[in-house]
Amino acid sequence: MTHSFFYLGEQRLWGSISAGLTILIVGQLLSFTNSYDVVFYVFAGATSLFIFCSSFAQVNRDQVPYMLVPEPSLEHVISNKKLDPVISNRSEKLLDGRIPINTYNSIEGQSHYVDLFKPTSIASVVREEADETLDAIGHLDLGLSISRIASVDHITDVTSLPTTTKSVLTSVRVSTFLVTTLLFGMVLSIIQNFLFLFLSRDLLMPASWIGWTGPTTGITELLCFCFSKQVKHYCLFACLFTAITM
Amino acid sequence: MSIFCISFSFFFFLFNFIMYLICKLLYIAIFSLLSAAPPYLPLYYRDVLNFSSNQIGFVLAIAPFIQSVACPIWSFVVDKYPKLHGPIMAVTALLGGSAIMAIMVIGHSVSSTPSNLIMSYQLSNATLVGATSFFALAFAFFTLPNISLVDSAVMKILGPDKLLYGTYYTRLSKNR
Repeated sequence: MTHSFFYLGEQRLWGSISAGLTILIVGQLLSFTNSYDVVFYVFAGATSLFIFCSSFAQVNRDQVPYMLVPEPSLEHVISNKKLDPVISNRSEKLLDGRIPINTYNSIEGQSHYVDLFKPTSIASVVREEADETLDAIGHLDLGLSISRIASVDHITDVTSLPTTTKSVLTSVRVSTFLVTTLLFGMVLSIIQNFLFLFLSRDLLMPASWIGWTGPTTGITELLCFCFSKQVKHYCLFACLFTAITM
Repeated sequence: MSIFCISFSFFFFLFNFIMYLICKLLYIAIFSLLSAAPPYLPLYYRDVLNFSSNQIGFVLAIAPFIQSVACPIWSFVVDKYPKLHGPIMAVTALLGGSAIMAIMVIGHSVSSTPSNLIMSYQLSNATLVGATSFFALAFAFFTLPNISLVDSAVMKILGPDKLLYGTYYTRLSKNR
């Protein structure tokens, strides 16, 4: 069993595929039956499936925020015996090197161990782990790529931002991020809400043609997921160069 | 001993396969229901309910504002009662789904109304917009936060140890 089997991205991938296929199927059914009731019947079927699955989802695990201890410092700690890791009985066999935060009782005055106490979210851990594994394996892996992105959806990670309220509001990074998010939200909402109206009313496109926007969106979304890491490295310079020359 | 190991690993794999199948089905179902009705509702409002552009924009604008309030509320409830995570997702999906089906009922009542009654049509147009807004609000409050609830549910089902199990654990065991 390969390790990529466990990754969050492997599950999230199916959401993108399902979205594209559903838009396509509903569009085809709409053209075929010429009645808007099929939209609601497909919606009812999907909702029934969701209710059925969520009833069987076992989501009652105790949430202990784990943090990866960098390997050199862990070996240094264990060999020098400066800190005693406090590991619970339940998770002792599984942890084996990863230590639940906030379970240390005492600490020597070592500044580089302060980072062990910084709280971190599962989302940031997933992202870092996916980044490291992508670097290690070298080739493209769609599941890992979606892992490093899907964990950012709807989950904020603010460990690298300024902490006081005034410094948050006056920080250039935060301001540019908020402005970018605002503009991006405006563009996205216009497309999401009014594209189909425009295609149908102004371009007089039949519903079966409109339905093909679903798979198109899904394929481009997955391609972007796949190459997001490479774009991050190589596209930044290209964007700066374009902005300067313009 | 080998038979015991083989059977234990088989049932371990089967349990994990079923739980990961639930994760995949959760994502398939939530994105399917979010791609079935909401993208085609503006067309429905224009063709069946005969809304003007202003009215369509008004009804569509409700969802993001309500969702921004509802997401933290439902996340707080789920964090406080983690054992009810699955049932909460099911109940909210049921309520939101019922709201969308009510919009279909509104459409049926409009299409069955005789069109020669001009006065009552003008009166009922505002009522139509009000009723559709109410059901759109209910959908945005109950169903739309399920996106983030599904994300957190899948992360919890996979578990932090399983998310990291394959890479860090194997690296550490190689070093020993």
